[in-house]
Amino acid sequence: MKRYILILALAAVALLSLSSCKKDKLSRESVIKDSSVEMNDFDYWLEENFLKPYNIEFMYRFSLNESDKGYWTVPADIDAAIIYAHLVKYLCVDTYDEVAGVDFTRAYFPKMFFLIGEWEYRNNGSFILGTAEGGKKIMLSGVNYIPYIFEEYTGSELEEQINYYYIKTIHHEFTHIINQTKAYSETFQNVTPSTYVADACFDTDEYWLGRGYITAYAQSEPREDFAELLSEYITHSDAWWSAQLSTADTQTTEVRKSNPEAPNGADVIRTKIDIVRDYMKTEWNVEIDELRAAVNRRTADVVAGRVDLSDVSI
Amino acid sequence: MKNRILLAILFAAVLFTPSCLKDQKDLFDEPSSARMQSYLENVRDVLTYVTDEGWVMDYYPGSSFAGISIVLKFTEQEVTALSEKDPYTEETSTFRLTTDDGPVLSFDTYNSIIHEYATPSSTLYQAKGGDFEFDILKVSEEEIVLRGKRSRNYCFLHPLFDDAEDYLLAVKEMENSISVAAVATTIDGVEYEGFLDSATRTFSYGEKGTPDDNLTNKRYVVTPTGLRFAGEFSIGEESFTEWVYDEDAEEFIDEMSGTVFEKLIPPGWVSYDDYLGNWTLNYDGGSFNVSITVNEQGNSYWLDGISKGGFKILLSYNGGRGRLGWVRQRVGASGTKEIACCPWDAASGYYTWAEGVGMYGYVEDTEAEHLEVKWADNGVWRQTSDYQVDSWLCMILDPNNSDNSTGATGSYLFANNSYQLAGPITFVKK
Repeated sequence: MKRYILILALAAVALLSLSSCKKDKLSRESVIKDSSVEMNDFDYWLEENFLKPYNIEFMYRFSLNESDKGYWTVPADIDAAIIYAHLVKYLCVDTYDEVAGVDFTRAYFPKMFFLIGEWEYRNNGSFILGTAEGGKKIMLSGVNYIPYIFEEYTGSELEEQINYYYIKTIHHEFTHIINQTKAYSETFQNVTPSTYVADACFDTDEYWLGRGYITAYAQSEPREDFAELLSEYITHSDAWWSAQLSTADTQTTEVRKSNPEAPNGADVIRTKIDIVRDYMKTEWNVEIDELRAAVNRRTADVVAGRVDLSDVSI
Repeated sequence: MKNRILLAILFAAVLFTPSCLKDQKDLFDEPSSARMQSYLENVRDVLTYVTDEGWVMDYYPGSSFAGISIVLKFTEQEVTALSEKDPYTEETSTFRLTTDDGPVLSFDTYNSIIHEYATPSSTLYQAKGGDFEFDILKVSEEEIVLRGKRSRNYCFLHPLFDDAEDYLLAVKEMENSISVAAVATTIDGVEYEGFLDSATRTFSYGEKGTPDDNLTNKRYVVTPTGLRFAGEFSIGEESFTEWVYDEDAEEFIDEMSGTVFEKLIPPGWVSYDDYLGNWTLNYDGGSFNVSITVNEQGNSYWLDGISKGGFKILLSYNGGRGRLGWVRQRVGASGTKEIACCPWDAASGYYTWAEGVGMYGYVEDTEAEHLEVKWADNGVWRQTSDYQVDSWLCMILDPNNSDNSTGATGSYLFANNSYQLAGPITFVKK
């Protein structure tokens, strides 16, 4: 009897293990579906001028996942995005190609630009011009104002508007990216270690030049100070820079009324820009004066109307 | 020994049991991505091929702003919009049908008509509560129901078979012809009253005598024939979605049920125009002169003379009640700080900078030679606290400091040379 039980048990185990043999067929069709968005002329232009040569994605159509959900914003206008794409190409990408070589641009220039139509407004009325993320992506805001700026301004005013709101932002954010790739000397943050004021940078008096900062925003923290110095330097002329140093010298008198030991603001800025210059030369083999000359020449081309900013023909 | 063999067999049985494969039968013929693509293709077909004239979108931005009709004409990749604000101007941009936890309609390049209410500014950093990305909730040839991804407001698309410009002009004509701002009806023996606020296009209703705080709100848009509500709603046992306006009889009729909503003039109702002019503002401790001027005809005013340095206060007009509204508002900036006129409970000393908190102004004796507007708490603050507004403060609000205890100075003082305007506050017309 016990023998039958043993045989039956063995048979049951064999059956159980046999039943597990089954092959599940996989569908030959991928579950990943193509986008239904058709490419337009601008998309093809972007492909030829950004994607193929530099592997840069220039996103001008809104994507919720790429946006910062902490801010209310709107998509970029397509005509404004075309102008901006030309500005980024001619004033930034081509500039770095010219000064640092195409390999530098391909290796380090951000791989994604994401445009939004409005500024990112904070609840106090101030707003964000752009942000850089992880060395790969730059978000640029306020794109829809670009056609208005070209209609309203000419000459040096137009140059100032383009630089202040758009192109300086790209150079500023790109500075963060190269800083994240190769760190700058700690000497920099020890030049004015005790006068950084974080978020209160826009609430100080107007003597930031006298304290050794090129802009109010530069007072926030060393990495912003570094990015502001380089981006302001290369987007302005030598005459403008000299004027800032002269003002810094004058403002030092005011600063010393409350802090008699304060160093001369112009000297501080000179010390900092020398560190920036050395960093760019040593780490990246880029002469910032060459970079400035190229940016200024190219900006003058744009302001003079020598660059067609609406042509998307290939 | 045999027991051990039996135990070993049982152990083997347990070991092999998990290898039994249970094959769950597929509920669907296709994978979810294929079904989603098929759904979106159907949406694209419905949007593009049901009608040549386009779809009327009942667009609802933030609740402080009126619902609006926008006509959208779709092609495979682009959408052309025109709105009742300007029926003669159209604008074309792109749209995308995509997925994000479900099907989504995204207007993904800028169109000043579609994106108007989603566009922020330095004074409205949250824009006007509008959306340009919508979850697609329902699609048919008769109606498409969308829900804003940010605001969660529902929007409705109805196919248009007439010329878009004619439709929108007819909407404007209907809005101008509606002379009813409050209605009354009786359903199953119960008397109901409702109030139409044309500034926000909101219908507030309840049983006769219901306090303002307890009224139910339903938003609406204007159609060429009357009003269409943001989805179905009920009064008593009756359900409503669309009313027809009878201009001669000055009443609304629900065509489905035949229910008539007759014109009602509530006690204390004052017309928009009667608030315009010069007034004396009385507060606890004195008075000064102010004037009320047009901001948006029929909907809002500027209160001028309130401040030392020239800032004005925006007052709203509730046409249904014939009353004024005064809520917390930004009046200026100082560096990164906001300067705001903040509601204040003077007795307790507490104040707030929360949006929507404020007072409403009402007139008790509409026959008086000099109209007197009294101000009372609008009930918003009481929903979250024990305080009520009777006064105002002009404060410097620091976004980095939750204390926010600094009173405004200089040109941001009220006309009484103080940052405080203590109640009771009344306006007496000159």
